[in-house]
Amino acid sequence: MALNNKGIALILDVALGTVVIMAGVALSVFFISESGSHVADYQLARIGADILGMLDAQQGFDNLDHAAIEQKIAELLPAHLDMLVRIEGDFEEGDGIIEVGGNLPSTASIIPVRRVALTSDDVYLKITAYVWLR
Amino acid sequence: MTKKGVFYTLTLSLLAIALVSLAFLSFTFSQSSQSQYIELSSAFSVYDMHTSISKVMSDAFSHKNTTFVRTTRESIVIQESLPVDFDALDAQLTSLKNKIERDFRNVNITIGEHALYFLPMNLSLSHIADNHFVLSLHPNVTGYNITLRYSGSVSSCSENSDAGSIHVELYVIAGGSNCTFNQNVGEFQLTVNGQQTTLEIDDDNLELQSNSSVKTSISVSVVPQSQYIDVEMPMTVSVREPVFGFEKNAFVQLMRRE
Repeated sequence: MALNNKGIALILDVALGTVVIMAGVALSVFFISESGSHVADYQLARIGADILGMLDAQQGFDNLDHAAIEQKIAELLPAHLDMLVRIEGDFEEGDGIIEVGGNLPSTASIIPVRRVALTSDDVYLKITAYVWLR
Repeated sequence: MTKKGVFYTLTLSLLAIALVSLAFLSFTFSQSSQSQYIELSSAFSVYDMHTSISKVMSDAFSHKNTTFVRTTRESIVIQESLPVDFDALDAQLTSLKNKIERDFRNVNITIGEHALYFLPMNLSLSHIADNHFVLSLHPNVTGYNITLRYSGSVSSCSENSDAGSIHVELYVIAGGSNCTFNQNVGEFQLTVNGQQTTLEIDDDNLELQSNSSVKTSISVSVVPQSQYIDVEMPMTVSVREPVFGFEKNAFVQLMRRE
């Protein structure tokens, strides 16, 4: 059965409408999910800062003990997150740099959290934390 | 085209326009929330950095133990050994200032005089010299409990006072004769003979100067406050955020020992 002009117009109309609807939905979903990712970045940074603050308050950096810091992080960090803590200072271990935690993912952009701390032996530490979703 | 077709086309167009509007709104919301969260993150990073630097400076002050301070809602206890040796504390604070300013270019630290401020009354403890300090008086102060402890001997104490509303309880403890004093005063002067120590209390200040080594403990009683009394060092920590221009510039607050 041959299509008449009215049928072609209707098909084109439906096709165009579907494309516009799909594009609109796709754009909406994209922008809404984008705005959500900024919330997540901010929350991850807050979690990183909170964990560093708690570690510092509990003298978690005093002994610069890799295993003890790792255990503390595991206790404090929510299960769906991973974290890397880099500690720099004038100490002998690791020539003044200790890294504790997971491996930084190469794909995700991560907001670093920076703090300073002082051990009970008066060693100044510069601490950087990276938190990301597993 | 029939009316049905026109209606169909119009409905689809309206739906399309509604969706495009929704997408535009989402885009605007996304842009706005992105900018808000970037701003929030920047403000938080300034706050967090300032907090951590303040804690480092406060810890350095505590570790060097030149002045021990404990506060509650109704008292301030200050303990010092005169003459106070500020050298180690000054060296540590200067070293930390240099390291922090080297690591963070947006941070500026200004180290002030040897003093402490007690808030919210704005009472201050100022060191004029390493053996001489002044504690400013405030209407909320109701009395002092003072202990001066010497390792050597004290021959006698000479005091001169007039009646007033400030309660002074004083103990001079030494190898020789001890002195005690307990009454309400307006003005009060004490000389510890044999130890070259003078203590003066008047309408403005409590002032203590000693040319001999003495362990001092002063408990200042104040009208009960609605909040814990905070202690600040006159050391300014300034953290700037260049993109949005956020800046936190405040004195270092000592951690409370409750």
